[in-house]
Amino acid sequence: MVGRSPTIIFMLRYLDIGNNNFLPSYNLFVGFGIAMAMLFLQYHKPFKTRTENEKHKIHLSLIVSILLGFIGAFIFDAYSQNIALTFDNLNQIGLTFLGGLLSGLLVLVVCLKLASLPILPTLNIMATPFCIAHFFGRLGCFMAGCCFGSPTNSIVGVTFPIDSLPHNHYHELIKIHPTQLYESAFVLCLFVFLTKFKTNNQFYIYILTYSIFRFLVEFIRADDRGIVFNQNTFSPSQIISLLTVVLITALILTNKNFQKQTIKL
Amino acid sequence: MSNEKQISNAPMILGIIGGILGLPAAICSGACAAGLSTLADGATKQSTDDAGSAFLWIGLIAALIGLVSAFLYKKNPKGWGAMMLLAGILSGVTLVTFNFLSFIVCILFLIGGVISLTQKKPAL
Repeated sequence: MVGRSPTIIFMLRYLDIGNNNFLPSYNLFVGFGIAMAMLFLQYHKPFKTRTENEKHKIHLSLIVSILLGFIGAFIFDAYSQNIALTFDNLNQIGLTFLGGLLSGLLVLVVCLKLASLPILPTLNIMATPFCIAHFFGRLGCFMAGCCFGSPTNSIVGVTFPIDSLPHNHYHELIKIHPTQLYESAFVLCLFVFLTKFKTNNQFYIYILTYSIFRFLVEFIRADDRGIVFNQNTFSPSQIISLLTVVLITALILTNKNFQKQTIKL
Repeated sequence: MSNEKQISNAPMILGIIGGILGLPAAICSGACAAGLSTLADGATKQSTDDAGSAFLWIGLIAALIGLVSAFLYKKNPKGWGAMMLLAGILSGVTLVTFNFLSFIVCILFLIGGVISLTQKKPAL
């Protein structure tokens, strides 16, 4: 039998803090990730050199885009899962990362435009903080047991405990791909690359490489991600990834300044 | 060496973690309030739903105010610090539902608010 294993891995959906009180791991990791990203941004050299007024405008744009990004992630999940957006259904709807990322980015671009800030240079400043928040967010997914992968016999396979989301899906203890950790590892490598090699188009690199990675990793995802455009060939995230790759490639090709910019070692 | 004192990042970190934890805390408060109100004499479905909704919204508003204050407090530490304290007080109101998560959120906002209020904006 594929991937059958008695091993139980470390996974805590809720952190026990005594007297039957619990902290939700996912929210804790997401909150910690955003906080660390914001902290990194404060000490990020290209951000530090901005004026106080520009910093305030960036902070304002970020909070608006984060809040609307959460709403976007929520609405996209409801749409792909075909759940009506009513007050009674709120507890059935989750968050889709790519839906949130893209809707948040769209709002961020609009906010930066309204604040008369240069869009691409500002997004380039935020690429590495995005990686930090993304890294911790996916660790939160791993702790919560969501966004899990398909069964595997490989050495990297992990077994989630009884009553976890993967166990409820497969109805047995089975080794599966830890797709959340793959994504965390990828984003961590991307963060190291972006900080080590001072590339000028950090935002394009982040969004393009992540979209390609996400498109590929979706083939080994097994959780229910819903359906869009009445087809089962590609998952909603794969379609978004494809559209993002096309859009970013078009932007790069039409940006004449892009080819002049080099990687500084 | 520069003597310029920077504004602390602590309220930002406390506010963001508090704001994100405040979302499940608000849902827990709503559920706890609805559950507790069923124990009251003469409780009806309408009254339990109202109690649940009221505490859910108080918790959500507190989380939202705390999160916004965390991002914007550097521009006006006193004003947004006061808003973070308000978020802490609103989270404190939901403690009547015996929700421990709200207690943590309340503490995070109150500490963040107090630190923010004691900040001096450096002269530019």
